[in-house]
Amino acid sequence: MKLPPRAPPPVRPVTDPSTASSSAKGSGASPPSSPPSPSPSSLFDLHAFADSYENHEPRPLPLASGIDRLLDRVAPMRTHERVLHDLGGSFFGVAVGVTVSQLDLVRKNTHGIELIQVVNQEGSSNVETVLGRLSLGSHQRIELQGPALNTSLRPGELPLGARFLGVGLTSDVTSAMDHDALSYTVEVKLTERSVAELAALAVPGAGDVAAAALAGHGVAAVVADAVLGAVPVLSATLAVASARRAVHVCHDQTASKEMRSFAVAHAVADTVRIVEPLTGTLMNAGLVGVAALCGWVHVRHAPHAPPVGPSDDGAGEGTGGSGDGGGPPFVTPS
Amino acid sequence: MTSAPLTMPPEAALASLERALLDARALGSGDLRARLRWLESAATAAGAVALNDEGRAGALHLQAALGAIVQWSQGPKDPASLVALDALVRTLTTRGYLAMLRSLAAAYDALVDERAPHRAACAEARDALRTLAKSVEHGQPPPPVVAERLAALRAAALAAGSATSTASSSSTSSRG
Repeated sequence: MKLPPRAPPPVRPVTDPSTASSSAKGSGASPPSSPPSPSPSSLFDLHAFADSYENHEPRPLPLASGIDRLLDRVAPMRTHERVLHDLGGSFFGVAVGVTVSQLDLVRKNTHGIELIQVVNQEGSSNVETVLGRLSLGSHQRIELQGPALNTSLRPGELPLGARFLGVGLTSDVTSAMDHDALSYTVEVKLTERSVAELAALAVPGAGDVAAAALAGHGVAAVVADAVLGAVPVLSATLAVASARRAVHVCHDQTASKEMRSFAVAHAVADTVRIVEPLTGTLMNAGLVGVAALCGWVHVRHAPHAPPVGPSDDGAGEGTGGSGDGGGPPFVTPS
Repeated sequence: MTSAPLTMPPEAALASLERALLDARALGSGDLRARLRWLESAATAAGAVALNDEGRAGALHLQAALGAIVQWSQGPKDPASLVALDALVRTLTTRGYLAMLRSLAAAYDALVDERAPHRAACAEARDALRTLAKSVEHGQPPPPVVAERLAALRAAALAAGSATSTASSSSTSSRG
């Protein structure tokens, strides 16, 4: 080991505290008189950062930060909502309500889809989305509410429910430091309960009852709309049934390739029928024709069973079959 | 809701669905009673087809649309609320349509996974349906790419049918 020189080394300006301490130990020199300048890379230097709300958040684990990044793409705004007061009712089969709540803005952005975790008064929890918002001025805004999953602990209510679509008028007062807000929302929404309640009214004969009550009330246009809207739903239902049948046929190991091919072709024809009804119907008719042709060709060229007459003992039973060994036994009438 | 459709055999349910689709063409000049009767039979037929929960959404929304009309007919029948009824009926039928499109796309996805024949056509149909569902969800007309994909599908299905028939006849001829 090389001994340090006797004469004290000249004092150099030190920029890094870690370098300064090691060089001081190594040389035995006294530390520099002036304090080191703060470095942003130092973990111990709290003065290097401005004190803000975000700096006091715990550092996320790698997995959590990955989930955060994913959520930032899907729903840049995330809110935790505690319901303080809730009034609800039903108007025309659609849920209407006023909600006063306290909000914590977990991720504060002003654009994009908002994901809200709601804790209701009785302790149940919902996950809701807000698809978009339109500012009306005076801190009021209209929001388009997207799908939501609701839970309920109230007796007499379904434990799990859903909101499909809603429109709400809302406003909130936000504290800048802790991102807390007090909010109210007046909303009209279509929920699974609305749909179920309305669907329950469609009992057999409901059409006749409604027609008798609606004569001369100018509702014909609405009914025509309903009929027009129902046609593609029916076509799609038929296509779904065909496609699901095709899935079953293709899953079946014993189904022939021909059968699978026809099942898929019928599903495709029914799918085309949703958008182009005439083309889809013609395609289906063509496929039925092709299938009939295939059947005819099979019957025409299939090996036939030899004619079987009554046996000597008169029992009347003989075996014929297709020659492939796969056909059913030929049974003559006794 | 009735218990009758649940006991309908699948073939009969599909046949009633086909019949409802054919009857829809004659409704252009039909009166109110005929249209409402058709809507009722259509909702019943759609509900009778044995599908999974997702597939039943179409029937449920059709029933809800009819239920909304029935409820309005039992109320004060205020002409001012006709707009709300119209919006509700449109929303319900659109939601039913959307649910069925998604269910259909999922079925095609299963066909692709199942390595079914005409897998490329199935993938094409799935993508077209997803695009269509997205445009319906945003209230926009279907983009031209959907029509292009469906035209390709039409050609593929017809080619598949003729290829199957040719293969079938040649294989049976060689066998016989």
